[in-house]
Amino acid sequence: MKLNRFAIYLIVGAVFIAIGIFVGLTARVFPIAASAEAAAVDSLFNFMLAIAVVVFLIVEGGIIYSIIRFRRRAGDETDGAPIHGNTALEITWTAIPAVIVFVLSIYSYQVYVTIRNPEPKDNEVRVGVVGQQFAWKFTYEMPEDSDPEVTPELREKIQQYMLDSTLYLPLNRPVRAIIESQDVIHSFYIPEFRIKQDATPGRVTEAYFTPIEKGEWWVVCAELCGVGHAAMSLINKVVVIEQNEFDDYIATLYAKAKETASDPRSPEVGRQLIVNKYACGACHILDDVGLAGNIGPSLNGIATRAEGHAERGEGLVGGTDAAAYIRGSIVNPNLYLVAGYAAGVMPQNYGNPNVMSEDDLEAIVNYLLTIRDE
Amino acid sequence: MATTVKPTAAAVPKPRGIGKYLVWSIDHKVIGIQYIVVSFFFFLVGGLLAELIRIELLTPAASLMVDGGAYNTLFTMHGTIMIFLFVVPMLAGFGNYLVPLMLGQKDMAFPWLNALAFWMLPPAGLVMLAGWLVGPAQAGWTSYFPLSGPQFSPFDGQTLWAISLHLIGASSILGAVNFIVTILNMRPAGMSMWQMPLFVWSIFATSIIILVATPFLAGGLTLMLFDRLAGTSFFSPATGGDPLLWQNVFWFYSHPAVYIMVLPAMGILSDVLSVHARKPVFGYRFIALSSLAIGFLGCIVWGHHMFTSLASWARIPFMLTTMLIAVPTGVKMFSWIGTLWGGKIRFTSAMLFSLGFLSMFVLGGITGVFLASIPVDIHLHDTYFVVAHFHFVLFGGSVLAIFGGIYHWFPKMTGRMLNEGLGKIHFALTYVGFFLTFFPMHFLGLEGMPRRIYTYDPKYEALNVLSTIGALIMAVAVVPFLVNVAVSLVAGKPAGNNPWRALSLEWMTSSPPPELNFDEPPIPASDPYGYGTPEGAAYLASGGKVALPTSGHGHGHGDQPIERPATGD
Repeated sequence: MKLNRFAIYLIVGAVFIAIGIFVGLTARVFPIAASAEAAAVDSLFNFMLAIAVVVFLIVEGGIIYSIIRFRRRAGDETDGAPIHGNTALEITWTAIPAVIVFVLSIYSYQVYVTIRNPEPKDNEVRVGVVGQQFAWKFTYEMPEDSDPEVTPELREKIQQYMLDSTLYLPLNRPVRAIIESQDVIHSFYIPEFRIKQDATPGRVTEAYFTPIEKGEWWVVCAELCGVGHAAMSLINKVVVIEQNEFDDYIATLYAKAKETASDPRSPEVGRQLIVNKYACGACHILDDVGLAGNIGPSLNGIATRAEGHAERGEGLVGGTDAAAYIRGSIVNPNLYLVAGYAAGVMPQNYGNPNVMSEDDLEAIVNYLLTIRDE
Repeated sequence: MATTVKPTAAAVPKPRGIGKYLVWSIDHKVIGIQYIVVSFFFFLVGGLLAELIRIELLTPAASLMVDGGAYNTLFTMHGTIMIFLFVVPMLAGFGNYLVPLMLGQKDMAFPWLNALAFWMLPPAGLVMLAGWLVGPAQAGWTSYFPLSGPQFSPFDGQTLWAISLHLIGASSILGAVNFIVTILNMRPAGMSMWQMPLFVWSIFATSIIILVATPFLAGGLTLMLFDRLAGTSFFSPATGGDPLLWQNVFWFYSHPAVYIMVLPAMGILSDVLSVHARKPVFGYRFIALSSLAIGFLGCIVWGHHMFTSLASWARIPFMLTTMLIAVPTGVKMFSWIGTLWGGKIRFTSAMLFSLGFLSMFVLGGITGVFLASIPVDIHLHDTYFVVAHFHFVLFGGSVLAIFGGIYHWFPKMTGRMLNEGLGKIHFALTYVGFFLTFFPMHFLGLEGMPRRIYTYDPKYEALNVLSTIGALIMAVAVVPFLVNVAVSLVAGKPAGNNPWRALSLEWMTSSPPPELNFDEPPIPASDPYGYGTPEGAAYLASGGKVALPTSGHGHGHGDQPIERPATGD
């Protein structure tokens, strides 16, 4: 009888373990594994899942068996057997979970040091990731340039315009993402890469990954960053392309940046900055460049309205023209609030030249002065 | 000169009926019920906010909310209210009501302090709700800097949030001191630490955690208020502060806070399972000690909330400590199943809710191990997987145990039984609604859906619809409970002293107990879980008048039967 019961426990245990292994081997709960790191994380997860399923079955099985087998029968007013414990059993069920979490810790540690290895790699691509309310922007390194007219000073200036609102990455090359924030905490997250790293203001952090699938996915913001947090997860994409396509992309971006650096305050530069660098579209509508945010007032026809304010002489600060109205609205958003919109929602730090350079501000003002009512 | 007659205490008329719950009282039973009723009110407020969240998330586009700010307020207030104004004070209410009774005492060690601790709670709640009048907090219940700083959260609601938590924290510390002193010094003759009900053990462990951790919350909130009101910059990077400092301080309190919310619930569970399965708690000492172990480990795992912000190397020790905490938690789970095993299980509402805890909490525990693993957490951090995990712990655990506790002790508190039929409907709707709401969230998180968003990628829609349906079922589930309480208060079956034939001391007096709890000093059973033993049966048969030492199992002390000394001293 005693042996029989032991045999039953063994059989049930074996069945639970078989189910656990089956689930661990077959479960596909993640999105596509688009980075080399993703495969390692997924294997670890499925290993843990197999153990978790066995533990889950033992516990739920124990509960269900108990409530059926040990339910009070009608008319039975007696108590259960006065068993206070079983030291051997209690030591066993302390020791086995301890061993399990020990194994899981070692396995997790191994995966962790593999996927988060800060050592420089031979052919790594370095990209900058900057979080801001409420979008990401990405900066790229410049290619070599043999043009003798390009001085180091000019190179420095060009670098400022090597940016985009989409993260282009070459296939199969290790990426070092250098992550910053210019306002609150954001979290750089690409589910398909299984990579997440906070962008903390005042700190520079890094993330490492190697894209192994071509495709395009959302770059998500995983840390609450304010009113536009939800929008920030559906605004920027990562696009993985072949190496030669990436080279072409960088060459084009560089040519454009060089052009911008020679005339940094032109309306055309402002037009690009609004989209690529300052993410005005997270909050504002501007049909000219397809911005469709719903948090702040519309920018359509802004020049006409600014001229109206200037003509009526409505106590503008730092000038009396339409440009002063637009400039003031950017660097000090609470100054000329549009009726129906709250103070303190728009970033308050565009007056800081480290956040928005004088050139960029003038370029944006010059561009917005061209946006008139039809 | 004529002498004036000083009014004596007896000359001041005491309010009776409901009135006594509305005024200052130093009776721990009144205070316990004040805690329970006030925190239940906030459960309804927090629940309403949760329903609004789920209705907004029914569709991928914005529907209910005018903008992200209004939605951010919803989950900020939902989280804060449920944690600080519902679960923590609700369990403090159980502790206040039950600990002195379980120890056979007239009151807590410091009755006046006890009342003071309670009366900080209603103002704190009002200050929190007043946020809506001045622009409510919307930086999440974690209120990370700089988002919660003066530049990005200019509304005064964020300041009120911090003041309210300050009051609740102070109240919590006062309560903890009171519990520790009471438990260490006011056990009756014949009750060693190892003969206390496990609920008392859990309150003891919880109070130690509160005393260690809550001052850090107070410190953090003080710095937050300085940053917001006095122009300092402890947490603001623009002027030399560090946002990670807030995260460290906040989580040094807020991770242990999880155990503040779960350990007393586990204490309730140990008592309810044993009584309604008519079987001694399996592995009493392991359960008692595991509470202390969880309390200790709980204070050194906070960094696992920061696996995407801490320096790479600093994450590793927190992975190890977090993994370890699964061990004492597992001990409790297995011990509870051992308690059921071989029992005579009665499917009362209290028991059903406790079985609900057992079957759901295990999932929260298992997903906790996944989140302890840094590589897995990097993917799952701040996704819906985490939302699923902590709701399985705090709803599947704490809230189900709280309801179990209410069905179990309502007869003692009011003298009347709750209706079992309505109780079972309440349980079934809650259980199904809960599972349907939170189980799909695991898969949303694995797919990569982040938390705290009100518009989302349409590919997540189907599971969100399921989740919202579950939430609506949970809302309906509250109705039979409220009806049950209202009707049973006036027309419930009289409970008698000990409707469950339980052995712990709170049942050895009338229901509700008289003002000083016991007409005569009570004698504790030598084993509060001695179901099925002749000693336990004799103790019950004598109505708590004679306690025999237990035979064997190492719980009893002494050789002589303990009898009440002759009364009249």
